[in-house]
This record gives sequence, C-alpha cells and structure tokens, in this order.
Amino acid sequence: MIYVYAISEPPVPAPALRRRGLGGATLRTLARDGLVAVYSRHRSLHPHPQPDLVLHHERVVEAIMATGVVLPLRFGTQLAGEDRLGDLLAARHDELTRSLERVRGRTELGVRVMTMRSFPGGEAGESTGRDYLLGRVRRHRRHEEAVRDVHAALGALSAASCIRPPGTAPAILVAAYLVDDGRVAEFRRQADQLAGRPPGTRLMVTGPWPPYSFATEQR
Amino acid sequence: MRIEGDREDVARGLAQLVLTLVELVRQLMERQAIRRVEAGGLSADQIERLGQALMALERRMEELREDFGLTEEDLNLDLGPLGKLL
Repeated sequence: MIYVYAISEPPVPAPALRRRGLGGATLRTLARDGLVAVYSRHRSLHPHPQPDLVLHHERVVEAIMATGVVLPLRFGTQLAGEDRLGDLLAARHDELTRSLERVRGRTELGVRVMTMRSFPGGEAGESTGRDYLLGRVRRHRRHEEAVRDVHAALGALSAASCIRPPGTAPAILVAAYLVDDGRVAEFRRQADQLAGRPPGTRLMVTGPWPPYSFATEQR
Repeated sequence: MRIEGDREDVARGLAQLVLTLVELVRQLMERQAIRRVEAGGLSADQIERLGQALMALERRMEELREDFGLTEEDLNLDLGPLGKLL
C-alpha cells in the first residue's frame, strides 16, 4: 500500500525529500516520462483527516512546492502499489503535464468574505414580519453585490479562479485564486482595499497554498 | 469538537452541536424565504407571516444560545482543514 502526496517534475531536489512522510515513513519518488510522484510505503494506513495528519501531508507538499512546481493531491490518496502509480502517471500523462504548466510560477490564494454578525437581533424599525423579511432580502442583495465586486476585482488579477458554495452564513464568499507569483503582493493590496465593503463584512486572504483547487482540469 | 471532560462539559458540547444544526436549518429556511420573496408571487399577508415566523425563530435561537452560555462563534463548528461548518 502506498500513500501519494503530490505530482511534480523530476528531479525533486533532495531537501524536499529529507522530511518524513505519514507515520515517519521515508519519502520516495517514482518518475515517468517527465513526471514524478512523491509517495511513501505503508503496511497499513487508515488516514482519517485529523488535523495533525492533514498538516503533515500539507508540510510534505509545501516542502516540494518550495523547490519547484507541484500538483498537490488531496489528503488520503492511496494506491495498491508502485505499479498502479506508474500506470496512473502514464495514463494521465498529458493531463498532468498540462496541469503542471498551468500552475507553474503561480500560487493559490484563498479568499473568504464573512459577515461580522451572523445573528443580528433585529435591526432598528424591524417591528413587523414584513420589515424583517424585506430587510433580510436587502441584506442578501447587498451581500451578493459585494461578492460579485470582490470576485470581479480579484479574478482580474488571477490566472484562474473558482468559487465554492459558501454553505451558510457567516461566509458569503469562499473562493480560490491562482495568482502569478509576481502579482501576489498586488492581489493582497487589492483585497485590502476591498475589505469591509459593504460595512459589516470582513475579507480574509489565506495562503499562499499549494494549488489544491487547480491541480486537476476544470470540468 | 471532542466530547470529553466532566458531565457539564458534555452537556454543553451536546447543546452546542444541537444548536449548531438548528442554526444551520434556520439559515436555510431564511435563504429559502428570501428566494421566494425575490421570485415574487407572495401576497403581502404571506410575506408578513413568513417574516414573523423567521423573526421569532431568530430571537428564540438567540435566547437558547444565551441560555447555554454559547457565543455565535460557538455555533460554527470548526472542522479544521475542512473549514467551518457554517
């Protein structure tokens, strides 16, 4: 049984492989035709997404990212063995090569826009059901507008972007942006300028992350 | 969220979990109501009643939260790297 962390291109510099994999396992590489997978061998492994294990996975991926281009795999990617991994690299060679090119020299930044108060106890003048509900509708429209503005402005600075369903309040926008390394500072400045529009919201930028959201082709 | 510690912690943890789920449902209902208003076709009377129901639900939710000494943030289960539930 093997656990796979990421796809990159050979050679993976030694410093990235000096750290240990999950459970202290040695990090190994398997190269195929311009691609390389970083993995570790395990007799048995049941990786539940606990914070420490996910962080461990992330650290391995970040170490590879620090030395070159990387396609991070989702936490928990396991295969029967090296043969299967080799087959996979061969079968998906063209797609993976395109993906490496897409993320080369770029980094993922996460953006979250949240409302500051999730349960406002009724705004002034909300005495009737009608006022209350129409107030919620107006707030919803303000939020939608804000989300559109933020996404348009940040999307313009990005090579690619993807919006995730934000679930429920307080998040009104959860998105990821693939940004040229040289434009990260500009992206952050733009995000700072957008923060707090409209009043009652806040905007958080996280990252730089390995390009988890852009590792596979958009379908 | 881990359920451990003494009985009071467990009770509070359980209340937190239950209220989080109720809050999730409340927000979904609010969103559905907003969609219905935006789609048009609700009578003034329906809007009033829907609004009253949601307003009462929100206030009751706040009271329950305070009864259990929970903050708004407490009703947002942190799933670690998977993000916040709400």
